[in-house]
Amino acid sequence: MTTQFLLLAFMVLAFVGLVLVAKLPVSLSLVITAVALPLLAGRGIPLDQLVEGMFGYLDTGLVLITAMIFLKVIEGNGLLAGLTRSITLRFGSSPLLLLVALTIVIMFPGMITGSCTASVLGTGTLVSPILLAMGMPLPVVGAVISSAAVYGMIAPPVNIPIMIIGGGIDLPYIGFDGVLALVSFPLAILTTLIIGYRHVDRTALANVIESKRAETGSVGLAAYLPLLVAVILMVGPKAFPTWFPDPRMPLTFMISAASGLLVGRRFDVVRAARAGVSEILPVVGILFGVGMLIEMMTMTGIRGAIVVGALSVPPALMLAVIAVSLPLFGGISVYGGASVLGVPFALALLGQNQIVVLSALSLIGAMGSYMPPVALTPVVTAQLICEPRYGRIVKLALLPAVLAVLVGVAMLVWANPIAKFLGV
Amino acid sequence: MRLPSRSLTFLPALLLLSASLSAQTYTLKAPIASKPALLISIGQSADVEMVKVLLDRSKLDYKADPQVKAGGLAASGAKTLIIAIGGSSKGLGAAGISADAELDRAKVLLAEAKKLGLKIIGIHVGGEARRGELSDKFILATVASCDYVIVVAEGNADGLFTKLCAAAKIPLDSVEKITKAGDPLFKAFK
Amino acid sequence: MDSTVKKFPRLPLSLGLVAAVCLVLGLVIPSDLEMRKPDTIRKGPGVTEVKRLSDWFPGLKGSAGDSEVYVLDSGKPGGSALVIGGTHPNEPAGWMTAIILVENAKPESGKLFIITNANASGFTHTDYMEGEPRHFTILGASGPRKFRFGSRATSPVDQWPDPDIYVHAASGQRLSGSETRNLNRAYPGRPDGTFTEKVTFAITSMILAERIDVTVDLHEASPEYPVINAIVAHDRAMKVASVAVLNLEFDGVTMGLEPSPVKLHGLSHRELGDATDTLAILMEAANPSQGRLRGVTDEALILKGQDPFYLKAKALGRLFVPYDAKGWPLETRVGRHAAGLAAIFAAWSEQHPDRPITYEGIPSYDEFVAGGLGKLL
Repeated sequence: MTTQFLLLAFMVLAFVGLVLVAKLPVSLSLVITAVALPLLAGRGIPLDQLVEGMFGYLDTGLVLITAMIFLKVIEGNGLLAGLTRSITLRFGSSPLLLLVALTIVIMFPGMITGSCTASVLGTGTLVSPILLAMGMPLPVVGAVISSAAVYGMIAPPVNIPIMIIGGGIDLPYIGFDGVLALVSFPLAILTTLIIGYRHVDRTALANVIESKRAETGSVGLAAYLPLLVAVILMVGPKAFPTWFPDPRMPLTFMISAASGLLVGRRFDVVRAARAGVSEILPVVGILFGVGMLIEMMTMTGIRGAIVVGALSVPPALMLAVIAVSLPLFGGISVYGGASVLGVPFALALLGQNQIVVLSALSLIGAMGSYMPPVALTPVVTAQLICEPRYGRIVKLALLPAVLAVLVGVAMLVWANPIAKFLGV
Repeated sequence: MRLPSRSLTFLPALLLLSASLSAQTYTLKAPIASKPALLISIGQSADVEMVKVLLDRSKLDYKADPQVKAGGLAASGAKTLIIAIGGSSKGLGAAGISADAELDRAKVLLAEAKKLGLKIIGIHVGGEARRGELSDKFILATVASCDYVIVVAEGNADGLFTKLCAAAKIPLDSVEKITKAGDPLFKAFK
Repeated sequence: MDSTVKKFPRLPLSLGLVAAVCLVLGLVIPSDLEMRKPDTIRKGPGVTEVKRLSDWFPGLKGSAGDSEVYVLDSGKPGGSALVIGGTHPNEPAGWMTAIILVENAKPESGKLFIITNANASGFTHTDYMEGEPRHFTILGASGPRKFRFGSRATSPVDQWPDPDIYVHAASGQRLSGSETRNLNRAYPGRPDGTFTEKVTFAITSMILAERIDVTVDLHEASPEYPVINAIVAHDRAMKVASVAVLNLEFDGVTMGLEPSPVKLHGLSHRELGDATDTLAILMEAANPSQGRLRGVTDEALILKGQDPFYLKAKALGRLFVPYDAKGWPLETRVGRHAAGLAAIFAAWSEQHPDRPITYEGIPSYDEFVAGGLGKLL
């Protein structure tokens, strides 16, 4: 195992060196590290596997690209501005209520699709101008959106990390809704309030409401078509799986974007789409690089060393290891962490109530969304709101995330009493 | 495929043969249990099916009701309870019960059996696969209430059964294989 | 973020990138095409007919899912059995056992149906990010035999993209989207469903049409998975399975027995047992090359099953199977499956003396362990 830990140390040093010293882009640094790793391990350059690893995130990449195009379309045709206006006018009188409502709005796409990127790109966009109008600085806006999106991912009805772990231990995805709702909604709202509430500037908000009211640029109901199409295409297949065709996420965004061209203001769609794609391309590049690196980590045994290492600790320290390693692995991929570490941890905790244990593991693992090098949620959010440094978002979201991990650990400790209390 | 030599048609003969050849002596010196017996499971693993085969072959008078509740004990008319111990997440899933609910059932059931004066024989045939966090819970909850325990050696590699039985002064017999567990079980009956 | 890229002149950089991509593709595509060539499987002395799944469900004709079905008819009265290998192409002991049967078994009574590549599409690619080799070679009696090591799931080339959530059609059960391409979550299948559901529909149709008495689905699982070295049996198959487990003990093969969970849908041991009259059974062997705890992943791991990380995990009490320096070689795993099949059919034949299923030509477990696999290939 020493070999693998030496390789791991080399990998981390090489990656950090390429990014910080050679100032290479993150994606390119990942690729170079991924090629160097098997060379050092005496496996040559396994081209087949390197290319294959890249494809691991093809689907996610497509979702990101098409969602970005969708965003640019609803920005271009005026829907975004119109929607912001009406939400602000409706809820603007009570900042507290507004924040709670906005948190749930951000969470919604993630709840339905199980993906926090869907939340950020879907409703995070709609909400960001309102948060800015409330007087929040840019990083705070980013932190609020990222956090709510992460809770959207674990909130019911769809929690993909649990499905992944459940698949590995033969547990059907039944009976999780109650526990997940009790965990995700209070924590999500609390997190928004911790991060954002003290930044709410009531006078600024009042001024914004005044100016919005004075605006005449109402977009009319028809402009909501793309949003309606997106919601129908996302909810339909889950609500009526037997007859509603599932267009999958990329096509959902493309159809919705196309419908947006029929309504609202006219704009240069090709330019908008190009802008969207080039904004998100670096993120897609990072994902592809990560896919290559994971494939090489698996091949050279580093992945196994991490898992066995995590399982080697004495039982008393197991919870601490879960609390640290699951979010750390999330820095590569939350779903990947659920599969690679979540399953062995769930097996190690077989004697506890599995519904509570898996809910807790998904909560803890989801906090890895903030973890570099991928840090998918804050990175995508930063792109979206034009915050140049995603690290600022992470810094703000960190404390509530630690709180969430502690809640998760408490759930693991008292899984059986909690299950009894909730009747699951 | 040399079917006849492996077939269980010869199981009783083989059992007798192996018993007489090895002339294994058991810790349990005299029969303790009366017929009829009720075969149940604690942990809902399919090991109960294996014990069923052993009992069928030994022609012992028994009924099987793996999920019986405390209330059903008196009605069963059984004088001895044979408990196949061992947890299975698949088995619990199949029965639609949680590990906690199964433990609760076991507690009440064992108390009721004691109250009714039933003899309790615990049998663990699942070996290594039927140990670990989930199964050990059921083992810990059950063994102390038994009057006699039979274990297939692989499942006692760490001496858990030895320790539990010694502490509660329960006779424990360890056999090499599942097929050899039928003999001491049968001999425990008057 | 990638601002440094912009410092380079644009056109040469673009051309260079395109050239690099073409070069890599040129190097990778041949090995990808190689994966699409079916492995050589020889018709053994017992094979009386080679059919295809489309013979029972024409909807599969011409598709990558139209797997071969080998029929070994003894011509004598007896029961009928289906052996399914290759449900998961990354579980080689399962499909290797099916190949051994096709190439060597001589039926004596009853009729055997054998599928070696149940998910033929899954054999045409490997799983992303698993770092697995694409082939492995066994030194057989006839020379080296090269086999593909495939993926757990249908290739995205045949079924893509995955939904976020896979809803099992018959039960409404929800699983993670990646399970959409898992053959053993798609039973009993649908004629108008996904590619994978069409394959399972064909298998279900075949069991119904041929009135198959016993169906055994051959799998492998990672050593840290609780249901391992085990038979999983549908409720109706429990009587045959429990006697088989005791039969196996005589051969020195320890086998666990697990009931098929009623609430877990889409699996062969549940749905085939519910949708047809067949006795549905699934068997698992221990395969370190598909585990999450494994170390260096290469051809040797597939063949020898020796891994220092699993030794460590064993010492930590994290495994559900015995594990020592000998590991779990492919010979041993195939031997377990072959012995398991023999024990199941023996139990069936004992309980149904009017419909026996018997064959010869397959060595015992001990002979497999002593290197018998290569001799049969």
